[in-house]
Amino acid sequence: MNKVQGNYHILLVEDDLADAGLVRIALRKGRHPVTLHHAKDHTEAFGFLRRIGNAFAEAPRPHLIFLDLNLPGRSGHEILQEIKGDPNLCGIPVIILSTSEAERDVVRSYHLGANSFVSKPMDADDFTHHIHTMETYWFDVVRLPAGP
Amino acid sequence: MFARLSQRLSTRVAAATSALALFFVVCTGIGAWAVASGMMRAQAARQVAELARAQAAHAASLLDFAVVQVSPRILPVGGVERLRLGGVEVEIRGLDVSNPGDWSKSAAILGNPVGRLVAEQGGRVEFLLPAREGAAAVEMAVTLSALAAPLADGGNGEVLIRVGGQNAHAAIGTPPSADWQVAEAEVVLPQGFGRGQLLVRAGIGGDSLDLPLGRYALVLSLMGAVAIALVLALAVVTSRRLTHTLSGLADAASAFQFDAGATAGAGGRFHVDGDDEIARLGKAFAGMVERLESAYRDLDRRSQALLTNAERVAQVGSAIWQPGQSHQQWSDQFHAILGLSPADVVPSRQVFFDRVHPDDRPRLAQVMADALQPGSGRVVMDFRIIRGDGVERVAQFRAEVARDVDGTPVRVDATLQDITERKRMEEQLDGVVRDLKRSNEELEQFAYVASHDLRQPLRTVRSYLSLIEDSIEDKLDDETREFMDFIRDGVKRMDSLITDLLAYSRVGRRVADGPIDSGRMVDLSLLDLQAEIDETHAQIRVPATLPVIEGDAGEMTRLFQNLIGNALKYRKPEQVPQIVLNCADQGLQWEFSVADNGIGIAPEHRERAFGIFQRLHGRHEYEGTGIGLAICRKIVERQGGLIWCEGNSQGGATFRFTWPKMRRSAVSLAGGNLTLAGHGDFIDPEGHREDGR
Repeated sequence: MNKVQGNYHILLVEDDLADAGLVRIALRKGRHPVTLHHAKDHTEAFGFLRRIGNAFAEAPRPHLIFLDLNLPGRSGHEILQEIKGDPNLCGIPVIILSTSEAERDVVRSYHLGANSFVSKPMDADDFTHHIHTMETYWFDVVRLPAGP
Repeated sequence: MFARLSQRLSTRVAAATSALALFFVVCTGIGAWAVASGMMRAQAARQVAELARAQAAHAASLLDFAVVQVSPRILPVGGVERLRLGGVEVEIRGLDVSNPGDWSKSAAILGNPVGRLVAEQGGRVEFLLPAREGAAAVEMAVTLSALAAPLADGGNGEVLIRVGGQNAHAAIGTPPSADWQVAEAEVVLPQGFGRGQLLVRAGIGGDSLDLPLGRYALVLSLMGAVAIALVLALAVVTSRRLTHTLSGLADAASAFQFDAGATAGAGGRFHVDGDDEIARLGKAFAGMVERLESAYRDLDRRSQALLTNAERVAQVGSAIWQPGQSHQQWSDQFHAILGLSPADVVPSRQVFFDRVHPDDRPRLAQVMADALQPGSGRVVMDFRIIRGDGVERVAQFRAEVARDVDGTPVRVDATLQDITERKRMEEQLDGVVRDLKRSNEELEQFAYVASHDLRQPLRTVRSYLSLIEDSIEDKLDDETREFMDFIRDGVKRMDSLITDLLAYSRVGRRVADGPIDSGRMVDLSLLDLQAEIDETHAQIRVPATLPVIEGDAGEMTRLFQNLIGNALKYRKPEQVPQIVLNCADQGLQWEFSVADNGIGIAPEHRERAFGIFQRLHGRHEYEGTGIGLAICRKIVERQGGLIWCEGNSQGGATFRFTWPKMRRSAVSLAGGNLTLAGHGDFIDPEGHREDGR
C-alpha cells in the first residue's frame, strides 16, 4: 500500500479537451482523491514537470502521467522519450492513453519505456471503467516510488 | 592433317618402291648368274669333249694311216722313211731287233705310255712297233705339233698314245684330274705286227673352262650393277615425283583457308599435272576446295543477310574498329540508327561523334577512352543521338575491347541499339510505380487517419451522449430518448463502416505468406463463430482433410469466417442452417466451396454482392456493413484466385473460390516429413466430419 498523504497527483498530457473531460469525470467518480493536472502539449508538460516559470513554480511531482500520443508539435513519443531520458523524471510511471490501435505505436511506446499502453474505448462507461482499473492498479496494488 | 598424311604416304611409297626394285635386281642378278654359269659350264664341257673326241679321232686316223703305210713295206734295218700328213710329221725307221739296245726299246713300249703331248709344248712321240716276222722292228716317231695346236686353243690338254695290246686301255691310266674331258680312239695294228694296238687319248683340263666363265660373270655383274643403278635412279625419280605431288597437296592443304572476299577458286591457287592416281587425287582435292569455298561464300552471304535482318528487327547495329584508327566498319543497321546511309558516308569516329548529342559527346569520349585502359574492357552507355532528319533518339552503346597477349587493345567491337521506345516505356513505368507507391503511402496514411482521427470525434460524440443521458435521464421523454438512440446507432454504424473500411484496406498489407493448413484455418474461423453456431444450432460439415496451401493465416481465417458467417447470417428463419464445406483438387489450383441452405442470392445480384458496402437487404433484416464479401474477393484475388457465387438445389447459396497451388502449396510439413496432402478423399461425402458446435 502506498502511503500517500493527501491527494494523488496525475499529469494528463492531452490536446483533446473532450477526452481530457472524460478522464476528469472518470477520476471524479473514482475511489481515490486525485488532483488532475492537464497539459495540452510538450511545453506545458515539461513546464509542469520541471517547474519552469511562475505558473508551475509550485507544481507537485505527479504520481502518474497519462500521455496521449497524437499531440500538436512534439509527439507523445518524443515526450515519453524525454521523460524516460531524464534521471529526475524517469521514475514516474507513464501510461499511454491513445486512440491509436496501430501495432507500431504500441511496440514503439513500450520500446521507449512506457509502463502501460491503454487504448481509449469508444464507450464512455468503458472509458470510466478503464480509468478506475488503472487507479486501483497503480494506487492500491503497485508500490510507487516516493521521489526521484 | 592432310599435309601430314600425304607426307607420310610419299615417304612410304618411295621407300617401298626402292626396296622392291633392289630386291628385284638382286634376284634377277643371282638368277642370271646361276643360269649362265650352269649353261656355260655345260656348253664348255660339251665343246671340250667334242674337241677331245675330234683330236683323238684325228690322231687315231693319222696313226692308222701311218701304220697302214708302214705295214706293206718293211723297212730294212737302218732304213728311214718320212711321211707328212697335214700338220703331222711321222718318221719311220727300220730297227734291228737283234740289237739289244733297240729291242729293249721295243719291249719297253708294251703296256706303257710312250709319249705325252702337252698342248703348250707340242713335242714328239716316239714308239716302237713290234717287228714282223722276217722284218725289222719299226720305230715310229710322230711329231704331233699340228695335233697339239687345237688343244692349245682349248687351253690345256694332252694326247696320249699307247701301244699295248690287250692292256692298252689299262695302260693309258687315269686323266690328271677328274674334270678332264677325255676321248679315246683306237688304232688296231695290222696283221703281222704282233700283239698290241694303239690307243689315242685326247684330254682337255678344267682350268680351260674357268677363263671364259669368269669373264662372262664379270660382264653379268657389271650389267647387274648398271641395272641396279638404273632401277635406283628410277625409284628416286618416281618417289621424288610422288613426294612432290603429295607435298604440293600437303602444302595446299596447310595453306588452305577460307577467304570470304576471294573470288578465285582453289584451282587457281594450286595445279596438279598429269593423269595418274596422285594427280587425280590432287584434282579431286582442288575440286573439293573449290566447292567448299563456294559453299562457304554462299553461307557467308546468307549469314550476312540473316545478321542484317536480325539487326534490323532488333534495332541493333554493330561496328568494328581498331583503336587509334579513324576508319571504322559499320553494319547497315548501325548506319540506320544514326540516320545515315552506307552509300553516303565513310564510317569514322568523326562521323559517329557528329551524330551524338553535343551534351553527351564528352562523356561518350571519356567512356570510350576508359574502355581502352588496362583492366577494363566492356562499357555500356546510353546517350542521345540527333539523326540526319533532326529527330532526337536515345541509343544504348555497348563496346568490348579485344586485346592481344600483352594486353594491348587490338580491336573494339561495338553495338548500338535504339532504345528510345524502351526509355519512354521505362519512364512511363517509373511514373506508374511512383504513382502506385504514392497511392500506397496515401492509403497507409488514410488507414492511420481512419483508425485514429476519424474515430476520435465519433468517440467523443458517443461518450458525451451517454454522459448527457446519465445526467438528464430523469427529464427525457420517449421521443427524445428515441432521437438519442438514432444518434447512438448512427455513430455506431459510422464506427463499423470505418472499422470495416480499415479492414478492407489492410488486406494484403502486413501479411506473411507461407504454407498454411487450410483445415486449421477453418477450425479457427469456426471458433470465432462459436456463439452464432450455438445460437442457430447450425450443422456444419467439413472434410476430414483439407490441403496445405500457400497464404496468410490471418487472411485465410478471415475468408472462411466471412463465408461461413454469411451462411449463418443469411439463413432461412424457420430452418436449421446446414453448411457444407468442400475442397476439390483441380490440378493447378484448389477449389473451395461453402454451400448453405439459406435464403440464397438472386442471380442478378450475385456479382453485386462482392462490391464494397453493397447490401442486398435492409439493415433491419440483417446486420452488417456489406464489406464482408468485398474483403473475401480481395483476399482471394490477391492470391490469383477467383471467387463467385452460385445457387444450389436447396435454394441456398454456394460460394466457390479457387486458390492457386504454388510450389509449396501441395506439400504438408506435418510430422516433419514432406508428404503430399490428401487429394480427393476429403471430397468423399463419407469423409466429412460433422461439426455440431
